[in-house]
Amino acid sequence: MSVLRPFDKLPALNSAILLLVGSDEGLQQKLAEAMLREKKSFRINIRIATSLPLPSEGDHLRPRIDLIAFMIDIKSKYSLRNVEASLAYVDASFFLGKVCFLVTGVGRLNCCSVEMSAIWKLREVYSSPVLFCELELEGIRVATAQRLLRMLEICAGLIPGVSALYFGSLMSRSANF
Amino acid sequence: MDEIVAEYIRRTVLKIPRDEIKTVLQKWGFLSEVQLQTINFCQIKENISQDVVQLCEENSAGIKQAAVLDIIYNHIYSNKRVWSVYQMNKTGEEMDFFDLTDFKKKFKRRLQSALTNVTINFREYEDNAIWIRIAWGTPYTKPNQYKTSYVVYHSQTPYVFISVSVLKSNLPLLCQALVAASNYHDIHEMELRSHSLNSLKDIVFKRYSQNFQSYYPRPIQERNVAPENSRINQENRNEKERIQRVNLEVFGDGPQPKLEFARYKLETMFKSDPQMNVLNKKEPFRCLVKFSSPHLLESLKSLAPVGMADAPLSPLLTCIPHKARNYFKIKEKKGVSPRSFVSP
Amino acid sequence: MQRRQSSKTPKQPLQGHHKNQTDLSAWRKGGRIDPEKIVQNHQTPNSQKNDRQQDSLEQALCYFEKVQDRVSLKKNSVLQKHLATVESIALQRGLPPEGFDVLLNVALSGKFADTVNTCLLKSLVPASVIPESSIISSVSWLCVGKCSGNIQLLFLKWLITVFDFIDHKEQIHALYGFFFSFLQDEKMCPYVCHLLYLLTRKENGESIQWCEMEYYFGMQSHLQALLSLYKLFCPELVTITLPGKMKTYFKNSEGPWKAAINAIRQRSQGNSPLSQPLFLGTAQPQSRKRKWNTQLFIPASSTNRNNLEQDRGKNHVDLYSTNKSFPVEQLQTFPQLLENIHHLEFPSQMGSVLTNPLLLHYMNCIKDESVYLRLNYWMGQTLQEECTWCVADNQYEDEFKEFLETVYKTECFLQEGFSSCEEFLYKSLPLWDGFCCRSQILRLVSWIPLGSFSEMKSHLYDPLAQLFFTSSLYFKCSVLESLKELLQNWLNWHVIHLDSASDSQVCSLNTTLSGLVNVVAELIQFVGWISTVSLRLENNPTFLLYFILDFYETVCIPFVFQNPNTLRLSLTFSFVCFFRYRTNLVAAKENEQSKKKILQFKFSSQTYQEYNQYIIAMVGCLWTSTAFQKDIHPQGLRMDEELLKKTAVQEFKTSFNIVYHPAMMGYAVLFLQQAWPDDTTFNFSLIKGKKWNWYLEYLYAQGLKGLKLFIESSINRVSQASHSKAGNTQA
Repeated sequence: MSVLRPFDKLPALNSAILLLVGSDEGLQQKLAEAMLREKKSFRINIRIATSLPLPSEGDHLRPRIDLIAFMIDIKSKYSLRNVEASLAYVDASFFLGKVCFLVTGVGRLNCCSVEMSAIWKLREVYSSPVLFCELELEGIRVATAQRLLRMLEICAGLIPGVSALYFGSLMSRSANF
Repeated sequence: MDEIVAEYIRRTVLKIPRDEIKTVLQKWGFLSEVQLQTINFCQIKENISQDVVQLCEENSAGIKQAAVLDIIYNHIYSNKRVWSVYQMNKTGEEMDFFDLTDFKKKFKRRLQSALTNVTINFREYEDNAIWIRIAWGTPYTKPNQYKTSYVVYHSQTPYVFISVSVLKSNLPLLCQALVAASNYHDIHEMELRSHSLNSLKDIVFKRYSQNFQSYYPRPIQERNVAPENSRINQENRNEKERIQRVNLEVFGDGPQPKLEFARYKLETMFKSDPQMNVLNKKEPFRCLVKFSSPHLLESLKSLAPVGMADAPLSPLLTCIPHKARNYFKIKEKKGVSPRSFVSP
Repeated sequence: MQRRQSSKTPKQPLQGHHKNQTDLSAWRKGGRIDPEKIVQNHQTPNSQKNDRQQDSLEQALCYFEKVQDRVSLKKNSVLQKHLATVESIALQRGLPPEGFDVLLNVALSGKFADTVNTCLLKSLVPASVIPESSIISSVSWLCVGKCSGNIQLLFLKWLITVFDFIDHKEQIHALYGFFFSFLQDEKMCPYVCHLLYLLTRKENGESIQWCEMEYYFGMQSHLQALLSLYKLFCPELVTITLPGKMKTYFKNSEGPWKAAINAIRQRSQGNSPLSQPLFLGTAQPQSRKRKWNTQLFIPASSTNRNNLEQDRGKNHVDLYSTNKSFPVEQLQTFPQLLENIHHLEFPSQMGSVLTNPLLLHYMNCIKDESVYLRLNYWMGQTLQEECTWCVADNQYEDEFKEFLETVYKTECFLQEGFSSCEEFLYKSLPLWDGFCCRSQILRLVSWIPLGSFSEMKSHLYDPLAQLFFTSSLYFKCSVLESLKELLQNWLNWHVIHLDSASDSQVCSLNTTLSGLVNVVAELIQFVGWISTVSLRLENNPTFLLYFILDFYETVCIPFVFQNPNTLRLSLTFSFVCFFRYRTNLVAAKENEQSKKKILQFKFSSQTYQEYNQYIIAMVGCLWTSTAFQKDIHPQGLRMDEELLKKTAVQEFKTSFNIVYHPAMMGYAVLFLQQAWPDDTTFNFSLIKGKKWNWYLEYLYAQGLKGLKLFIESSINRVSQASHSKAGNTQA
């Protein structure tokens, strides 16, 4: 099974590629559409996967991935397990700023079945930021799409002077000012 | 007219939604069309029911008519009761001709020989179904018309659908009467229960859409859509198709029969080194898992496609319609691997 | 158990039992006259139905009143019928005051099975008020112990929920000791605590009874809450130390009634404008079936209206001179407030305080800690339990926003943050998406009291930074704005408190002063960090710069700051900043020299040196056109010649002076056009000598006051003619 590596392909000009990994494809699709609707100065391509590893038959067609967003639904333990299992297929160098966790379902904390500590632990272990949102709601979905785009732009190296690594260090909890 | 009958009719009418009272009464056919026209169906139910009782009084209704009304009500609103499926067995292969009058006679005789105070009423429906209503009494008390048992029997099949009353003690008697009346040898419960009688019938008569390997993956048009042109790509297209295929194989593509719950009882022994002397009781650990949903099978069907579970689902969940049961007991097989699933 | 040995025999007629027997029809007739008493509005099409309902309710109540022996529900269709009547009417329009006595007596006397009793208790939804007498007799039933434990619990829950609907509370207060004795029952304890919490007044705290508390119990949260109230009233009697913050005091004991009460209230508001006076004391328009905001109104039913009218008839002086407590819902005018300021009785729904300007005045001038405690308890409960704040059911979002808005306004009015609100923010900021109720949340942030660094970092700075870096420019600006206000609020608060501290001889503050300054320094450092990063991320937009400068202008007022180096370049051009900075430094130095005993902060000589270096660098850039050179600071503006050559900028030395600086070039162009109208080449080098001074005057005339302040204070201009010879003040 192939491990995803951040730098084994050449980047495409003025474009950024996001890989969304999560079990709820409906939400992923909606989020991806919201991202496409946003105004931006670069081309984006969003790959939606239910889990990693990605099927190898598409390897040659797949462009270089700039950012992986793992989606966890706070209402579904299955989604967490799915993400945890998928993380094994990501090369360590991806975790230098090119991975984030997208936790949805914050609007229904009363139906929460994933323990918050599990989320915090993911953040610590993979030193990657966690974004909370409620993708079911249109407004928050748009706001989240904007945030993801922002991160994607940085991770694709489209903001001069700001690298994914630098950004990752900013977003880590241990960042000091 | 008996006061009990009057009150019973009144309460039965009260149970019916106001808009439907007229239709039900028409089906009942006890009151003439002219009589029905005298009732104002727009007033509150309390008054309608009183009017109905008055008319019934004129026609001098008895408990038999009242029971028929109740059968009609229960036939229309069968989902207000919980139905349980029973299966009867024969010893020999003899095919005997089913005679309805004979069945009724035997059934009645059997019950009445055991209990003098019992009200039994029959009503046949087009689909070969015989609806039997039984109100139970004791040797010393009159039958309680409010705690009735219902039996729906399809004459050409070994299946009986029973909705028991609160008075469960009469169930063995009822079963005996059924076996005797229909010339079967014995009867047993199938561990399949639901509010939806029709869905139960669909399951045991195998009327729900099943898939017998007849499905083959659709022609590969979808896969040929050049994915690299779009800005959103599904990486797991094949996986998705697999899930759909598997789901289709398991559930078919039609609507699922309606069940409200599935219950699993797990019994397992605590295993430890006997020398550690921990819990060497003979008592197993017991665990009860109940899945409930307004429409259980449809929910199970959509689990994998919406990404809430892996496909295929555990056979424990998907076997419900095939095995025609929604009560399970999971036990360890003696001497075999501890987690295997045994039907009792 | 003590209470079971009560002398009361069950057969003994209960007080007030028969009194109300004939009141039922009176209620019925009275109900039609007084629309405020019955919430249901009598509209013509409904009236027939209502009549019938009233008849059947009367019958049911008569039945329950007369019922003698134990009756089983299953066999008795009459009981079934009456029970159904009571239940449906209660849920539809609530029960009249007279009904409570009858039903409570039946339910608590154990005549029926528990299922019936439960059903009866659950139906006790008040339409208007609950007579105090019915509560009294219920308590006596409770003492007799005729009913089961579950019924007792249910009754207590009910009592807590409907507490504000009871018409009087004097006699209930008299039963304080009885309730207190119930504390010994383990199951009842949490609810009794809650009830006592609602009942406790100052004089109760003084009773010795509390002493037993300590003896009996460990530190459960409900007891802790009660103790904290006692401690406020009589600090000398409670010896144990209580933890400062509590999450939730009491379990939610709302039961089924609150929803029913709200539903009835909504229905009645929808139907009739007449029922609106039920909610008094707010300047706000009637809340529209708002879940949270309905609680902001004082339920008028907590006093008997009849009584109110009687009271009005009485001589005011007479009424007010009594030692009785004054219920807040009667509070209408400011003079009333003044007269009753020492015996106001607050409702259990403390939220009503938020929208009542008079009560806010009260809170502001009387430092009544118990009111704060109760308000904080109520608010914490409301914020945390009632609204997981980005509720996916969108229908409540607007109400929640409105509620947060109200909380913010109150904080502004009181000039103080609520600890419950702070806790809520700390708890929910890490999960925030940065979108829901954005402006409300950020405004509330500005009232967080600055705490210890580790707390602030993990609860506020970290989550905020995560959102900040990934969010839009607009969000970034909003955060900076909110942090500026946070700083301002902190300063205002401490200026007041430092003043009062220096007035009195209290100098103990001195010890913590450095701690306080550290906290602010950390805030400033945090803002410096996020500002620097954001400028880089957003590619130096002027809009963002404006907010950053705005923050630092505030910072400069009392503080010497150490802003991150990268920011320095940008800040260089906030002359106002520098001027203030200088003034402060000079003032500080003078203070030190005169050795006045003023609470000022000490600056190290290094600070002065740094300042001087900045000044030299700035003057070098702006005035003497020697940018990038005279700068010895390791992280200063100096750059290697080599590097500067690589940039291929020819006149780099002059490129940041007041003519060529990007911010000034516009002015320079306009100046050139006016001075040499014929010249179209834009020869900036023409601005020199006398023209340089004209240009400077021109800039001043354009309103660049900050520049004026800076140049006049930092540059010694030897003569009018020479511009190149400029020095700088050494502070």
